[in-house]
Amino acid sequence: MTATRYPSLRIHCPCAEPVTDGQVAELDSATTSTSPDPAPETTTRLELPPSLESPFALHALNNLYFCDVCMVLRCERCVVEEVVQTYCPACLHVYSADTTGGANEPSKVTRKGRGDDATFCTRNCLQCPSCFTNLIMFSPSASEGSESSGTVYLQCPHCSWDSRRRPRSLTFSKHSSLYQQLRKISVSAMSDDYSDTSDQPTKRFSALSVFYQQLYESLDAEEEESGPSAPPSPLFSKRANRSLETIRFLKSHYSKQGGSSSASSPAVTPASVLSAFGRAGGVSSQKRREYEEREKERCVDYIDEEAEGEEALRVRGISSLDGTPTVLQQLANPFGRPTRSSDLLPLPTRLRARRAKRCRACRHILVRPDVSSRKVSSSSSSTSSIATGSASTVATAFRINLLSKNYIPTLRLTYLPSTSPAPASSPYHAGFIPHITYTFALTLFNPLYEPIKITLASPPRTPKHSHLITFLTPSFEIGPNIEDDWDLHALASLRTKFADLKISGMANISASPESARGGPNLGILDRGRNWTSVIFEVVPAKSRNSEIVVPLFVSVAYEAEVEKDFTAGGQVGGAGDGGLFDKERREMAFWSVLRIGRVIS
Amino acid sequence: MASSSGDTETSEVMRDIPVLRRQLSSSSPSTPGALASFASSPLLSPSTRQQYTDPPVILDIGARGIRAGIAGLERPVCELPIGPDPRGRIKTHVLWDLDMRNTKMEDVHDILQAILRDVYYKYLLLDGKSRKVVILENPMMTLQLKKAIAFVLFNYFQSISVTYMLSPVCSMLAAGARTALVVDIGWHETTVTPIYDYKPLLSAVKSTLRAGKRLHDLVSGALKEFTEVLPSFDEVEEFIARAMYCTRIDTITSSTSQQAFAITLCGSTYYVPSSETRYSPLVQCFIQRAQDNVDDIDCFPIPDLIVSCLSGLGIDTRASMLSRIIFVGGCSNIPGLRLRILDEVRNCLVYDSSSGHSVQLQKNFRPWTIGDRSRIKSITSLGAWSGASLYISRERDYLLSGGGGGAGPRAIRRIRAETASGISHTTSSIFRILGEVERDKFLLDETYADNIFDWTVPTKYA
Repeated sequence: MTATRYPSLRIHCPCAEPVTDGQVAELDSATTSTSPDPAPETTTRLELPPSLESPFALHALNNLYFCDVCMVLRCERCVVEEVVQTYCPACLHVYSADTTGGANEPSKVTRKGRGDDATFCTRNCLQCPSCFTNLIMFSPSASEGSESSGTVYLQCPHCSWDSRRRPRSLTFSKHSSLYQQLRKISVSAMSDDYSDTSDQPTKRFSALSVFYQQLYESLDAEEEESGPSAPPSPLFSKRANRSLETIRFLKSHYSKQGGSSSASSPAVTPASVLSAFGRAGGVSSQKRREYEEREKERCVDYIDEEAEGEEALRVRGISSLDGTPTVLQQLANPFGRPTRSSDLLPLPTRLRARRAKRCRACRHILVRPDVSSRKVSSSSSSTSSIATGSASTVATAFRINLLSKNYIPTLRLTYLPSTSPAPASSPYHAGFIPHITYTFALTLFNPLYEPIKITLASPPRTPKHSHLITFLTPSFEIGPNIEDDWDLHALASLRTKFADLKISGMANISASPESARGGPNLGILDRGRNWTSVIFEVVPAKSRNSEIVVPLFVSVAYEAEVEKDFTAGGQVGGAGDGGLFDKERREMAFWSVLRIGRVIS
Repeated sequence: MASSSGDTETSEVMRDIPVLRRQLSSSSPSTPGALASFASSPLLSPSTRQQYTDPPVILDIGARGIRAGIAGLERPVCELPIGPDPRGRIKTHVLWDLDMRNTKMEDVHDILQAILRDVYYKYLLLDGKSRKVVILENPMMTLQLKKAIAFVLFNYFQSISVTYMLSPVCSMLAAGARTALVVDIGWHETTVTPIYDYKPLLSAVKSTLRAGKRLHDLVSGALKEFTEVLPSFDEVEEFIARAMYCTRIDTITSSTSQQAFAITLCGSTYYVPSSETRYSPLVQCFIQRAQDNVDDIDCFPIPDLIVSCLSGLGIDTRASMLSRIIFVGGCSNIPGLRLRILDEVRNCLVYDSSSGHSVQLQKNFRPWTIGDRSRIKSITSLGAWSGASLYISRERDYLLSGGGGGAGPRAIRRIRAETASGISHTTSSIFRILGEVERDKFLLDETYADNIFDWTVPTKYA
């Protein structure tokens, strides 16, 4: 299990919930935000969504999108993705910018034996088979000045894998189109290494392909004989006709073999025709013998028991895992399964896709990459590609990018090491001690141009281990994000304030007159232009090695200025004071999960 | 889908294309007109045809990993093992448990969605909604799982349709045979499926729990015994994939067992006896009978399972299967294992007059074949995925352009009919693949898919 880094903050996407639950949550959020006092009675009414514990429903804020039509968060599971462009991550060459998804056309290229091309970079980008780093191309003859030979070899800058260091040294005859050269090498290398050449998958596949093609052709020819203009009637070829078809199939099969030059194939003999009839009619004595003869003509390939026995003996002889590639290295090889580390060949680089994303509910486009490619000279691309001239490289811009962090407040958690019993060092790694009050500052940043009203809600005790949680200020306001740049000065002042707290202790805060009990600013640590820090406390329960996971419901309400719609009436909260804009009350709510740390006892 | 009316129209016209094509290829004098209309037909503009000519995506979904690729390629584009991901969402190494009561379907949905998302957008680089999907199924795959897979594909990836094909049949196709006994050594189970003349004899399918999971547990136990460290899941799997071997006869002598094997577990290197960790668990898992020769009915050794499967077949089918044994599945790649199983089967079935019957004769397993051990043979297969790819790439033109009854190769086509409808003998020449589940119908009608997924009931919707 991967170790979680504390504190971690994830936003819950309710898309996996059944529809009814979503409605309940909406009702709850409405009651929470409309009630003036979000006191315990509201909190108890709030139901935790069942999928709140599922890691698949929790996302980092940066991985979420926001549909501004549905006004909800959209995660990777509730968007529909479309591949708009494929490119090589190493040389940034654009391979396809087709919106119809024409990146893969294996059907057309397979017959030429180039089926994988659609998903691999076919230029010079090759990867280290051992550590998957991009390989760098060197020319051995560069120092000697014999440029004409043009052979190159590859080296890994990370694990210093060298293409020449194999038992059979691997060099490329020219410095361009390494992929094609690699393909050729891999096919020949595989057939060299395999003691049983017919077992070589590529050849075997094409042999089978040809075999089935011939079978189909013979059947087509048979169809032709029976009359090409015959209408495709389902009735005609129903069960009643099955035996007749079988005979025709066999007949065509035999006549095909009789016509071919193969010496072993039987000609059309009365016996074979007889057997064909016998086969159709029922069990005949000749049937099996004929069947077996026919089977011999099939494209069957027996396993080479000698070779396999030798391979088993070879493996028996090894004394450690060093000589065999790892499972990952074996799976990564697109040309076959290498069984020895010395068999490893450079890997072609897999292309990547830029994708457009749509809201699954309303099909509104949430993300649309800019596919207009720029023409740049290839000198700026990766070192492994020395293509001449200019190449079109992938653009990084987006035409549309509705990221959730531009729509919902960003949350940040800070530990306040102030109260006397709590340790001053960060408890995230050291662990939490039960029954001690830990104080945290939760800072919310407002990305919107309107001031927002935040209502926080959480169960008083965490659901699993019942650690005590107290939010001193469940409801507060955050100013608008008017300026474009971050208020760095304010952040700096916040930091000094935290430092002060470390010295003076938390007691001062709660005792300070401005945040006196009952005052409007109780529990608000500090606020800036578009952010507010509030205090919350955690008292871990005594349950050994339990994780402190705080479910937190965040409800955001604001009044947005919308263009006055004169045609349609019935606006919500239409308290517009003239002009082109109307005020519209908008609400959003989401669950988030704060994972704070582990309890040590 | 909004384009449903357009689809039917197009397929009506497309149905004539094979006829046209045949006329073209036969170069009969009456075809120039057809050629002109063929070339200039707006139907064949890429945008219209694409939906029909795009090769489907083939998914081989196993308990431990997914193979995925596009039909027509010789091997899958990617093989992804199931295991913990960097984001810490997937915590298990298997997609489902053999006991479906221990499997939460929500988890299967989540994991499949996460992995298939990688498959589509990292490896295949195409949209789910543009392709049909063909899924290879083990004969023992539960209906729940089949529905879960279809649910994920239709809901999250908007696939056009989902078709299930029996993976043993595909394995046989990839071997070029038409009769075979397919032994699939998987993770939860080893399944033996006899296929005669392209027809899977599903009533004779046998399975045993002696498979990858059991081997994993045995190897894990053996390593722990010698190192006193509990190896992690991945360490054991690496060890199995890279170090295991099998010999044709038991050759544990004192010299070989002395041989030490270096293995790194949890950061420190241990030396373990070679035979006890690399060979014995394998034999114990797949070959050895239980102590008192009483194995549970679901836990036969693989050679016995093969023999009992053959015993259940008719006398005419069984003989041709003997020389067509196919081994597929993850564990069958362990060097020497296939040979050993084959030898054990020979020992069971062949009465050798020179040495007497060395293996103790079980009352159920009487030798049928006298003398000739070489009759029992195994053939190579490229694997189920490649078989499906071969089949679909050949069949595709007929399949997707609406070949009608005119141009279909019956013998091969029959597989499809019988694959989908199981043991029923109906041969169909209807263009639509039997057992193809379409998205709209699946989402509307729950029982629709049930009837198609369950090959034990006759297909009503075909």
